[in-house]
Amino acid sequence: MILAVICVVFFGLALLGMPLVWALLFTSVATIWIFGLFYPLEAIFLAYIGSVEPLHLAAIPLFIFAGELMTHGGVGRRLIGFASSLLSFMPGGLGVVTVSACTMFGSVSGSAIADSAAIGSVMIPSMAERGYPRPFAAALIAVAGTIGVLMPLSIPLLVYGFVGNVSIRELLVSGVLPGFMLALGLMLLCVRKGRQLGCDIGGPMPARSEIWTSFKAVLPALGLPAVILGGIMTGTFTPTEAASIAVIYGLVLAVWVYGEVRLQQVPKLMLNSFITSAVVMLVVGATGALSWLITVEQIPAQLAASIQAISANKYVFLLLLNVALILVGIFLEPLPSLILTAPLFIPTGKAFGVDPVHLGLIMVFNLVIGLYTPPVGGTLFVAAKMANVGMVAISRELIPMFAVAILVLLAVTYVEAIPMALVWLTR
Amino acid sequence: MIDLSVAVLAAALLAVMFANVAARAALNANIAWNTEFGEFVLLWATFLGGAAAARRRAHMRIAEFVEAMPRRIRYAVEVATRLAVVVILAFLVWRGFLLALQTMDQQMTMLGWPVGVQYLAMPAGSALALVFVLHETALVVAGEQPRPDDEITLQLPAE
Repeated sequence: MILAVICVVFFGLALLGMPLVWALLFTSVATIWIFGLFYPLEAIFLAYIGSVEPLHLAAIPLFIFAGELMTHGGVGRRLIGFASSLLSFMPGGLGVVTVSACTMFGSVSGSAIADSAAIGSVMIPSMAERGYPRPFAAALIAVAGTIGVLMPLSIPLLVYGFVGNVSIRELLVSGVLPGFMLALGLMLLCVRKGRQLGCDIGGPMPARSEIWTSFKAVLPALGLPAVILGGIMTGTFTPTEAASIAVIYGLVLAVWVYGEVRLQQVPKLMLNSFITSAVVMLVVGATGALSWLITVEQIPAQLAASIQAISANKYVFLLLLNVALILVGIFLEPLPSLILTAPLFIPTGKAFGVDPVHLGLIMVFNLVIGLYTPPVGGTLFVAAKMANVGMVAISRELIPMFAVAILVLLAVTYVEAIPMALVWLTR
Repeated sequence: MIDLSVAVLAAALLAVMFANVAARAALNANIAWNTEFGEFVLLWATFLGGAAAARRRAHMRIAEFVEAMPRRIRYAVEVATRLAVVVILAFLVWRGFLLALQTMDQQMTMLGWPVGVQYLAMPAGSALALVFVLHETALVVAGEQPRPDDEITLQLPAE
């Protein structure tokens, strides 16, 4: 009952365009007021402050800042250079290059929109020039840009770990195989498309020296995920400390090694990253306030009980979860929906015996699909804008890619070993 | 002014975090006041950053449905939701300020500063945001349609 009121009030306000932070706080206060609950309102505000206070959350602004530095530092262009020297011999080579460049870029930037924008700005024009239809190029960028969010340094996985108190290290590891599966699926589609169109049937293998030159250019950029992951996996530093190292690394790389960012631009980039992160963290805080209320009212337990009344089967729960998250993902961007639903689904999932790491990956994968589900979505917008094509045209090209993503999602959800095998090995 | 404070706090946070790694690597020791100071900085940076975001209208919201509404209904909705934001922000300022006052005589363990100074970040940031939202509300009432600052909104992470 309370959950229903919370949902109605919150979604009502959110769909009417009220910013999410304030809609959440408004919902918390209004719910207490409507039901005449005897909680001191101070508890809500303390939860609001307390949820953004822990120092490990500093990883969020710092990783965003590091990603900004890498994005503006000319990393994208060099990754494309490397990928095309290595892979453009294949049929559909340009598409394959796009997918692999997106995968690599995602693991240095952690952001799907930055990924789509950085790779798309170069690859959409060159695919169009080669003879690919623009809507196809745009659709490919919209989907491939999200692969990075599954790869290590993913900001959504990081946020899920903080919100749900789940091991960041295990979460990051769990995304690797699903990310590669999605990339592989998209590459196969590109190879088929390249053959079909006949505009990109592949060429000779480039000289080894050419591959080596382009590899040397990206080596410093690829060093970042290596250092960060290595450090986190071996326990040398915490994810938060890793974030500060990533910033220093990105700074040196962007300003001195690649020389594409001037030192005077750095404060502006830092300010923008921190404002972006404040927006995210305040939503985290406001959700903290609401989930305090949800917890004291024992709503997750009731929810689990009412789902268990339908079926006690873990897979039925997961199916309901998939469907619910796809619906949520159509309306909301991944990060806020993740922050909103995680406090509800983690305890419920535990009641059904779902590992919180597995659950986190399912949630992120699921919600990220919303980024390119028409009619609204972050990477979809960026790609459509860059390619200058309409939603209907993109949607048609999206269908097979969407099917691939759903197949991988189902595999990741119902075959626990796919995301979890590497986690079990390193546990 | 707010932007400058956020930038300075951000730089301080980065310095604190990096100092901790460096100290552990070089001296094999953690800096004792590091966590408290870091949390203090993070809290202020976040709430002031929230105010800066309010000025740029960069807070995450779903605008698609409102924008699709007929003009007169849209006008009413835009005004009403902003008034509701004004109410909740005023509430946050008022209660947050009381909360900060109550905790002024508690001291932080390592730094010895009053806890209230840390908690003041929430009402202070909310008060600044309130000013910006009031300004925006006035614009909306006057029939303008304030646009968000694209530079920030395009950068939202993870999406």
